[in-house]
Amino acid sequence: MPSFFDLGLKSAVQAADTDATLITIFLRGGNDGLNTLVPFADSSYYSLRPTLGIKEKDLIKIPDSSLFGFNSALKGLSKIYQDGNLAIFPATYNLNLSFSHFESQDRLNYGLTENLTTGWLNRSLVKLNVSPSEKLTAISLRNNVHEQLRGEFNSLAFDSFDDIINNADFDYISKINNFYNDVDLNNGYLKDISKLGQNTFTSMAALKEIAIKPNNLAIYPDTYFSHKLETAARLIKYSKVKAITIDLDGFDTHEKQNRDHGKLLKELGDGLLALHTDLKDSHNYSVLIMSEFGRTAAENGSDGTDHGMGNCWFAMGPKITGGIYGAWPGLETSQLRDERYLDYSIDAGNIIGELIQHNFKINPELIFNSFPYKKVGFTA
Amino acid sequence: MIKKIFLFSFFITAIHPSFASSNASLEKSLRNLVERTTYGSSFEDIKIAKEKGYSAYLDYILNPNEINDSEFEAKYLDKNSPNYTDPHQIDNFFQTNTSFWALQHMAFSKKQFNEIMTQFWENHFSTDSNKQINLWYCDNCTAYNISRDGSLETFSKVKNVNLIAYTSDFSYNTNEFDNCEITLKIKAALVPKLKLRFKITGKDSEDEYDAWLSSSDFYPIKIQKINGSKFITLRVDLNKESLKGPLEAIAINFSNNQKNKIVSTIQSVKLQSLSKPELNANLIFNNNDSEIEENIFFRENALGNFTDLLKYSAKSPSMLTYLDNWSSNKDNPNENYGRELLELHTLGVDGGYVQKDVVSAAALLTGWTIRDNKFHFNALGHDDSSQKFTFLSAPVDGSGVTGGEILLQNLAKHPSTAEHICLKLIELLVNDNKRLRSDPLVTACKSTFLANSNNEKQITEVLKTILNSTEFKSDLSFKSKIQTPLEFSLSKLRKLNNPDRIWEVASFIEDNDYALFEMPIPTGYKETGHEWLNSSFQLLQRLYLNNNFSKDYNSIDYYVKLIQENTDSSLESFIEFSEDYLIGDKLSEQEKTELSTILGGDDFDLENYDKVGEALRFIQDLPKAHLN
Repeated sequence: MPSFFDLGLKSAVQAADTDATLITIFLRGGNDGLNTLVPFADSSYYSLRPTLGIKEKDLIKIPDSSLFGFNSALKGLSKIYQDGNLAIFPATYNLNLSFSHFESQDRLNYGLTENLTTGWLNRSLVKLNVSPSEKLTAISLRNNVHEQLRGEFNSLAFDSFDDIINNADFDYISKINNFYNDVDLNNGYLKDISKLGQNTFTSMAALKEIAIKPNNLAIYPDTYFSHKLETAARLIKYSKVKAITIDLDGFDTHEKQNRDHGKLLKELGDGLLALHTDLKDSHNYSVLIMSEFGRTAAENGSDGTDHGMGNCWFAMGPKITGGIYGAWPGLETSQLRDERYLDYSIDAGNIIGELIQHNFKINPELIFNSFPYKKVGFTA
Repeated sequence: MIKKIFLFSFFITAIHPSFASSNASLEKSLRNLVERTTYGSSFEDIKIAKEKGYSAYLDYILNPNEINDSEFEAKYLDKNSPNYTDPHQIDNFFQTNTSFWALQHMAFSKKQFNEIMTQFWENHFSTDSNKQINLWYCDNCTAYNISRDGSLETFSKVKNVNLIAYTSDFSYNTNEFDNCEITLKIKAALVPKLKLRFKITGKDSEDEYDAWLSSSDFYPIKIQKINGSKFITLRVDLNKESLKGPLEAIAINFSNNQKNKIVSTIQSVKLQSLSKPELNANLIFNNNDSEIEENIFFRENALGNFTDLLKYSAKSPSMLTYLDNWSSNKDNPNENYGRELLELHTLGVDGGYVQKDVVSAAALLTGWTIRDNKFHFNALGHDDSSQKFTFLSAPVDGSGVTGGEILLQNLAKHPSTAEHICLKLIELLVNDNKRLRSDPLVTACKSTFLANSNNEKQITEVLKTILNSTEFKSDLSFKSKIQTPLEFSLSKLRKLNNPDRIWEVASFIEDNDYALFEMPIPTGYKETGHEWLNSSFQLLQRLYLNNNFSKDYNSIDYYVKLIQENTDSSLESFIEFSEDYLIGDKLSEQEKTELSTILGGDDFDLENYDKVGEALRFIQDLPKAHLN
């Protein structure tokens, strides 16, 4: 019987190839786009937000924009923008008539206009026909599989390398693995558990090798989020990973928004700058920074903002054409949707679709059957 | 090497060789009932079910008040017992023991189904106790509290440093702002002196106070009487120049930006050191007590009436803080609770409401806030206007607290709510199949729900409908679920009768994102299997837990005795008993062969605890052992 570690692991840990990796970062809770990329020159901004509005002098200016400035916590992103590797979509739209976090997130993670239960990243990977011997193709950097990666294609999920390889009893793992090969395939869960087991057990050795590779010189901030970006960078460098998902929680700022929001943005921006510095042009990857919806144009009575519509998204990477995409809908009462919400100029599905096309060379219409895809044009 | 114990001969006399044979094990449907209505079927649970049969057993679990639970109560609820955990106790890390106390109920109470349903309601009306620390309340004014993780890192970026405050009461009476004592504790690195400025602005007077403090000390400062004050802003500004290092202690900014007439009695204001929160723990508003009360209410009403449960939750300080309703007032309504009330607690996301209804619900619930850790209706902050809803034929009169109550009552009895609750219960108990609201089992369940909406045992009747249904009793339900982390870890504890490992259960559920009383999102934890066993991390965590339980002397010792008392102690009986008790289903030939090899084959020795431990680990690690 061949050793179970022989199952194609060698190829999985070879030095990086030219394959593109897509990292999605989901800002959970509905990021307040208006205080992320601040439209300081839109005079309504300050009247809508007497307490939460960020003064023009406190913003990081964008050289080619007389309308927007970055929240000062986003130094990292502004640096990436200067390098020409950041695409900004100030008014992205996700159809979310229920204003529910859960429904809106599901829509972006699964099927957009269709009510599907598999993730779009998963469906893309199925289409890619990755060899089953490739073990580290898709990773959710959290304790459970990300919604975007749910479905037929088998992926891994772990919070950190330590979680999966520390204390592992490799002899026992090798033995129990045999009993995950032979199960009653009529029971759906049993089939899934056995696939999960085989995938886990055979991937562990590969992960161990990656985890002990020496670190390189980029300095990642000491935050939970940045540690994940560092793990992502390592996977990109030492495996053929095609999709990585990361969540950043805490954006549902109904109250005391100023207490938390800047800190979250700093975590995001500083972490991404480290990733950008680490991988530079040596690897082909794209990052999508998404959130389920924006927030109300006006602040509420609890010094926070409620669920809204139009929102600011970003994409970054060495092959991303930097710039600001889409028209600005404006914040005057007559320009707002229902007099409450920022309108939109780009459909979120088009941004996702373009990254599917760019990274996986797959026609997005094959992933979202009923979504009328139109290229935005931020990738070469 | 695990020590063996000497076995007395009376164990041998208690042999029941037929237990593990197929005609002695439970019928599939009954076994399924036991598994779904317990946190893992103990040997005793199976025995009771076998004695009673399906319908008597169902009756038994649906009448928890008639179950004698005195053993549990004496051991875990009696304050004099060494096993008693005080749920109110707060330790140095500002963690409470509430979760552990609830876990003891789930692990050891004989009213298992009632515990399952208690957790179902905790999940349904989910809250996060973390949100409730340092809550500062104030009607018609804005009060700030800060996060405990030091978000104000550099003082120079902060214009007004806010105070954390504790106050026992606010009052609308005038002349009560007398001789207030403001106690401040500040700890700031590298700063020898801090300048504090209190600005007290009254309608009739305005005063400023400056104070210099050394770091790391308490400084009581007397504030002079302000006669006839009707509008007060209390603000403390720290002098920027004096603060060079990170500020560790923060703050309240108590301002009244609504310009409503308000006079307050502030009895104590604390500026709290973040590095040592326990020093002031008793003075900080803590909703933990509310979590405990809520848990007790859910336990007492787990099989009761949905309207009661909904009303309790709506007025519970835990919920009022978790979904921000405490701060919602007529000038600035906050929609957070109003939305989740419709989406998650009652009608369901496709239950026939629109955004306008969320706004109307929020309006009816303005002024529903907290005082003294209890629900309080603040009439001044309440929007009295009547509200229309797309799902109700008549508008709801908004006056007083009754407006909101009428809405809750209507919601609790709405057909969409019945469907939504039924969908969730069916998912909990039957299987994870995606269902439409028109599904026959949902329809049957809904009829029971609506017909019993005034019955104090409404939920009992609903559960009867589900658990007596053909679908529940069929193979469609058997082994169709995966245990949640809570069910998985507790079932190890219960089946291997290893109460001491409850600490491990507590840490396992936290590591697997199933912390009790700390639901990260208002949906509560999902009941579907894919949620809880979809990742390498989760699978390996389960394997580690199995290893720890299986190799524990107490588990093995208990198991060996079970085998001795109930079988002829042969290798065949061991295997037969184990597949039935631990898996509840058949092992494959390959699995049986491996098990036999682990146990030594012809040299099988039941008293070889190492091998028995290995066998227990192996059986529980098999793919089919994850099914429930």
